[in-house]
Amino acid sequence: MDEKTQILYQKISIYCGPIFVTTFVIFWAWLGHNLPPPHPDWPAQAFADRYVNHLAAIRVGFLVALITICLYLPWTGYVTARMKLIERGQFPVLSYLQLLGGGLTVMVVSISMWCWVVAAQRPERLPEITQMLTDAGWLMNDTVYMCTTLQMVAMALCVMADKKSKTPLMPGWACYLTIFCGCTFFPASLTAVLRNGPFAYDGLVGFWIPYPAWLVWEFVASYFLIVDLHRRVREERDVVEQVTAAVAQAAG
Amino acid sequence: MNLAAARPELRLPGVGGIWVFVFADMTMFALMFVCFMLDRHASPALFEESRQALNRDFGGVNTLILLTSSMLVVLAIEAMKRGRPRLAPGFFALALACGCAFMVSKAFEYTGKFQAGITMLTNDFFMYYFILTGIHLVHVIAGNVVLAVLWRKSRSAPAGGSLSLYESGATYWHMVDLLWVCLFPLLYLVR
Repeated sequence: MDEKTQILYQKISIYCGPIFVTTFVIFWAWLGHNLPPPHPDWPAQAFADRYVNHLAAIRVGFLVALITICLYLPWTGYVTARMKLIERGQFPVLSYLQLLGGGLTVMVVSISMWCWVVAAQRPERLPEITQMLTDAGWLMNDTVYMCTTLQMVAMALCVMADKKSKTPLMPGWACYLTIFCGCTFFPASLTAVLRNGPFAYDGLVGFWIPYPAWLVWEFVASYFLIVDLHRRVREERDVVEQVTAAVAQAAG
Repeated sequence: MNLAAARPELRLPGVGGIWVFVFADMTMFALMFVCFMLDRHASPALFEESRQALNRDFGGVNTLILLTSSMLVVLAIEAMKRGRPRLAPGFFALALACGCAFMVSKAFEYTGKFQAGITMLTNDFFMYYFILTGIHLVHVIAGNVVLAVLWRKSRSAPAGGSLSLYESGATYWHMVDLLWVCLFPLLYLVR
């Protein structure tokens, strides 16, 4: 593969990040009627009604979001390759941890949406079952977040430890923000116990802080990844030009 | 007079990023405090009655423990700044001991509540009590790890070395202290 094509694929991989965030907001949050999320303390019938009343939107929303969530994979792939440039050598453990975390994040979020797709497949079934599938989907996201937290922490630690680059991949504040965003997921475990108030899966701490934190991080990291890619390409081009000029001079 | 020339060493302690973390973390706590106050406003009788079941002695002792520990960290950093790095490990070790004492005290406090049949699910007040103090306790545990690292590192620290790692750790630990200073009156004292 020539260099131009390689850079093109790298660029596409990074842009998959913000495109994923945008599609997630449109299809998962808006069409999927997750903004605001259903209230966990509703009676079962209210859960069934939610699917019946918005059936087409919910089906389209989650089916499309199940496809576009995979845009997270090329983005994770690029981040892994870029981190290996920092870690070097035979043991790029943080890069691999980030890779595993990113891959599993896609599975966790997919399984959660798959529960809701199943619920929407037969909206006429017993309301208690629809309620259970909705709960299961939310608790999949809200209790199985650790893969994502590890992905984020691994990336931040790797970038912070980069002493060789003139300009690091992300500035210090973005690394600390990454760790903080990853840590906002921890209180979401409480959604498994509390069905009312800020710690429930439709609450401030259960939903309105951790989900935006994840998407904000994805945006911030993508921005710095793109800036970094342009810088890297420019620097490589400068080196090639200098070498070519030196060779020409020597030959002349 | 030139202000910058008069105060040449005006700078943020630690690495800049830690302040972003501190700001974000304190914002999150502030939001949870607002939730607490709103729910308290909705059912003042229940919150007041439940508050009286808390042991203020535990809260007060914990406040003293954390304030002492913060002071010890300040002394450790000052010792390093003033070219007496040999004193620092002792201060860090004592600060860590305070952090551990806080955990032990919390364990006793929680045990007492559980034995009285009070849990997170008892009512809204105790939901906030257990979750807010629980999240704070997680910060204390993380802080103890930080203090242990600083203690170890300070034992082999060369005089005049960079302080930014120590200052970053100290900044985090002061935040943990400050959060408790907000939590204690909010849960234990406000009538």
